[in-house]
Amino acid sequence: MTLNDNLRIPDGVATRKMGNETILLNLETGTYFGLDTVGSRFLELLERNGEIAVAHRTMLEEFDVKPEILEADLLRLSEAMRSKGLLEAVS
Amino acid sequence: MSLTHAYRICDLALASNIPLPELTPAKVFAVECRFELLPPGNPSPGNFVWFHHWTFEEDNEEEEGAKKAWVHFARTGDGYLLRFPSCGDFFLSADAEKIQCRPLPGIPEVTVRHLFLDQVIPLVLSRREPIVLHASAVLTAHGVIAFAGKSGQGKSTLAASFVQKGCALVSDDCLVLRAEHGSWTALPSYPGVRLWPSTAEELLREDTHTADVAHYTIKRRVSDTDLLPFANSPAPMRKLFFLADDTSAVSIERLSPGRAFMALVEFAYNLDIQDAAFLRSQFEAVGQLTADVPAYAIHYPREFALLPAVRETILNHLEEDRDHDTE
Repeated sequence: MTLNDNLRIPDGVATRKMGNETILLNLETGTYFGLDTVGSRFLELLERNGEIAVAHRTMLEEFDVKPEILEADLLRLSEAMRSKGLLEAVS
Repeated sequence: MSLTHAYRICDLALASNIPLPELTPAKVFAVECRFELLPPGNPSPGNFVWFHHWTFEEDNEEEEGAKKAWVHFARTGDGYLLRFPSCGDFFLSADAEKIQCRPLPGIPEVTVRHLFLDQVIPLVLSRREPIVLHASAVLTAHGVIAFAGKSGQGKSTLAASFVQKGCALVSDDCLVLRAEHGSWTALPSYPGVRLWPSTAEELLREDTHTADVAHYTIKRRVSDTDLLPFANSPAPMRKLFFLADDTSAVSIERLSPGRAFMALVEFAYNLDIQDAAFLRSQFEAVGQLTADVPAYAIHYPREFALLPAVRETILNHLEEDRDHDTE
């Protein structure tokens, strides 16, 4: 996975935002996944646009973090969520 | 099938072909669930679709696949099968309104009743109510407080401790919560708690009558409502406490909504984890409960001598919040 990938939440995944956190549930597998403030913001940006690169650029302005660290974190999170069926690649 | 024994548990009208002395008999006009104990026999053969299992919580195997299963869940042609490998089979109709048990030969009836009341009924209830928690609960002057945690963490001990000091028992380990008009109500389960002998000796009078729970456990069932008063009607749900570490001091930590949600899911009963429609309704209900009822982690020392201090801390916490709410 790279910054150039586009992701979306597939059908069959329920989400609920609670304050600064988000919970996702894969309705097919029964897998729950919790996102903290940073993860929730990432998901919110993906829902708007889908492009990891756009989310990365936006979040660099909002969080005090080095670009390469944020990139690694977002890609790691994306892969973790994708492997649980909570995100899927959009061609 | 002659169902001559009627009861009510968590607002469920139940009829049974055997006495269930753990429950209080009730006049039931419309039976919602029927239980039949069948003659003993070997495990039912058949092509079942096994889709889930629970393992023993005290199993220290790291590999999930190596853990010993406590109960297996399967779909049958017209419902579900819950197989307790060392005890017997429970067959549930798809709507969970009919339950039959075929115990293995030699399994005592007290064990069947324990499995039915304390393992199967919570799962039956989970088909009717989106929130059924593995939690004890007591009715205090400020409303119902619940203690959720894994087996052996002290839910029953804490609940019994509160009840001895003037609260009423709402549940020992199956708590049904129902949303009504923007708030949450706890439904009383059935009287009695199950305690380790050492706990019963420590908390109760020496001459307290206790009964067997099941043939495979030394836990004792204490059902004397003069000793442990029971809440006979639903009451407002006030706070949820998730039992955390055995620590040297008592501390209460408010959980963020996300942490509270995940904790609730961990302790919520669900008969069919592959039923997407039910999962969605439970997801929404847990989300609403998280928003409406505050949840805390409570760390405390697991020492009998310190139970009064733990109780006091929790009650002071409730009192402080009440004062805060009225400002």
